[in-house]
Amino acid sequence: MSDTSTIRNYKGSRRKWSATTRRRFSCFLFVLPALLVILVFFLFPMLRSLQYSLTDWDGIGKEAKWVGLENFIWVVTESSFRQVFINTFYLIILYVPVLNVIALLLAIAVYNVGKVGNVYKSILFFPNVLSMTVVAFIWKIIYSYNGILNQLFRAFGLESLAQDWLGQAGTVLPAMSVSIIWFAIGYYLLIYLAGLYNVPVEIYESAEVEGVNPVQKLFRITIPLIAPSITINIILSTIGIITLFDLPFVLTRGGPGYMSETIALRVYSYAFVTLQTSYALAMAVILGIFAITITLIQLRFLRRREDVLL
Amino acid sequence: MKKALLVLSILLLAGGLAFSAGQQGGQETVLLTCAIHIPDIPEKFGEFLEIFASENPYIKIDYTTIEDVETFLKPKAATGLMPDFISINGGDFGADLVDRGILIDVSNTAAAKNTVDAVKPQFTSPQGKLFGIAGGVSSSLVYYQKAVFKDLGISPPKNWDEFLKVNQTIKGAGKTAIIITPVDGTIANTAWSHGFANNIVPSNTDYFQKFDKGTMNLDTEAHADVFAKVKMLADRGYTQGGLLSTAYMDGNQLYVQGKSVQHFAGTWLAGMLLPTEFETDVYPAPWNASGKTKVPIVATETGWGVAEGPHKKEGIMLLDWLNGPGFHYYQNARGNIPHVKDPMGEVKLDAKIKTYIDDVYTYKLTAGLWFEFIPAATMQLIPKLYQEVLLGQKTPREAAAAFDKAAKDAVK
Repeated sequence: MSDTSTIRNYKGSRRKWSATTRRRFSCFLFVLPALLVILVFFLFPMLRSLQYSLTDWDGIGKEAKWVGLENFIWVVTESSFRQVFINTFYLIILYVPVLNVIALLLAIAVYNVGKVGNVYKSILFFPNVLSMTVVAFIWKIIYSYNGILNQLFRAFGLESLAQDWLGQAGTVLPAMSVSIIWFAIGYYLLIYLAGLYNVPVEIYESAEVEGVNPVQKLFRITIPLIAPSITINIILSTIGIITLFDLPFVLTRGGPGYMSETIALRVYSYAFVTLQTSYALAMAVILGIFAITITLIQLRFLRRREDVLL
Repeated sequence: MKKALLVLSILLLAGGLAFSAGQQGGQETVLLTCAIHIPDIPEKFGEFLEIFASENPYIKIDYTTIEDVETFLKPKAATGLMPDFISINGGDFGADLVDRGILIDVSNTAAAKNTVDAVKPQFTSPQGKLFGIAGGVSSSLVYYQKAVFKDLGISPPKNWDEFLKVNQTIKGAGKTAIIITPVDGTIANTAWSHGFANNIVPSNTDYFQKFDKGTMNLDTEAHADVFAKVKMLADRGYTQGGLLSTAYMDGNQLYVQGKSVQHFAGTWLAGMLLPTEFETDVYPAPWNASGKTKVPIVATETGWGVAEGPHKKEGIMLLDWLNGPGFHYYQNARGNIPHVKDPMGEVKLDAKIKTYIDDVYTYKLTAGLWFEFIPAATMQLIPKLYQEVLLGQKTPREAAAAFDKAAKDAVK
């Protein structure tokens, strides 16, 4: 049987397709739906947003006059932008390391405890099943001035610890971080567990024979061998926190003042609160550039580290 | 052949039944989409809509509650997916929508003819189109626990100095004096609007026009005092714990639970705040200086509008019903102040609110609520500025200057 198909082109003359061409065409057809989704729902809106961010489009009408970089200059020179940027950066510095350290330690703790480990994994993963909005409402009740946390402190005579957790500049971001970590820990724990299960058991056995203690095992064996999982988790958690919107929106609306407002929340605020769509788009572009930059820096550093460790 | 004919007959019969089900009394069924902002009685409002639908069987209602009018409607307007019947606030957002033809001009509806003229300007666009009908007349005032006042031997204050003394007495008795909610627009509905009314309106009676033109000067001591007053209340310990995390419904719940002696809130909450376990009374907010005549607030509540589209006729029918034969359902549930000339049913207005508003109507000079005249782009700024002042991040004068700049920039 011939390994080529014969088709007729538009002039009616015969044209032969090789097996390779047929295979490529089939692959293209399989990929086409996903590609169309990406083009229509991601790439096109992204490019249009970039286009409109350079205009004075009001978000409703059809008119859009070119203004160049005016919107970008306005949003970054606006008086509260500095605080918003600091908040976003603060959350990255606070949330990413704390989350990953806790997730890794918990993964190590539940990794080899037998069947009861499944119960622990379920409990730890449960918050991740909830929507971020529900999580925010739960923690809003917990952190409320007359909420569970303060009531517990008062009940145990620790009145001085009862605070307005979400209403003070010094406590709002750490409080928010705790709620995000509670939500996300299960997800990252699973990735670390997947990495741990890939580490050959024999390595630990021979390490034990050689008298390596648990701390040395962790730093000399476990962490180097799960470096790819660490890379994935750090990148994902960074992107997650940079683009975080729903939890701060429900929990604090960016307050008090601008003390918990993130760049993502600022985009929403421009688009739907102050109704300044062109500023919202400029801010969204800035957010995108910021996220890409941070991610590329992290990727470069972590990949290099992986190569060294492995 | 026979089987084929039988199948065809069944299909035709089924099709005919389906077609007639979509028809009501010869009219095609209309699905009227309604997006309503009514956070205090969302389920009840749904019941009102069902009553309307039962009186007009060919209309089916698709009802959605919305938290924030402008936030919800803006993307809908941008994508051409406006619900048929919507909540809308007085101010420039609605004005913009009607001038673009996204909302219809309801000037010639029965609802408009049955609405008092005083609440129409806020819903009128620069092109003279009426884009909505107010949901009621609104004001903000102080709700208070009558028994506590009696026990402490105090009476409702008439000016700011007396107000401070009353709060001090309440604080001295170990109670929370007053609830202030700086987290959201409630602070603007209350402290800011009253501060603006008393400090600025008397010498700027054309403030609506000045805001429109961007000539309203707010970088003044008088405007700074509007922020300073709330800071004073907080600094003296008169406000509730967790001040900077108390939002609209949190504050209402705190008062209903009896955790504060006074609550500064809107008249639209009368239905929730008056029928408490303890007796509640009201008094006009004493934001005027001693010796100066109070400038009370007379404003509009969130109202309703109709979108341009294939169902605008049914939208107008609902608008006329809500502001006509169906008005008493809505009004009785909320206990708010009627904006209609003829309520066409029994109005249940608490005697205290009636006394309050009758008194307010006697004042020569009144002012509107913030959202009716400040530029839409500055709306979120008021609560934020209060929060920054309360955090000590800005002085009241800096807050005044910041708002002044933003209001002028918004018009450029």
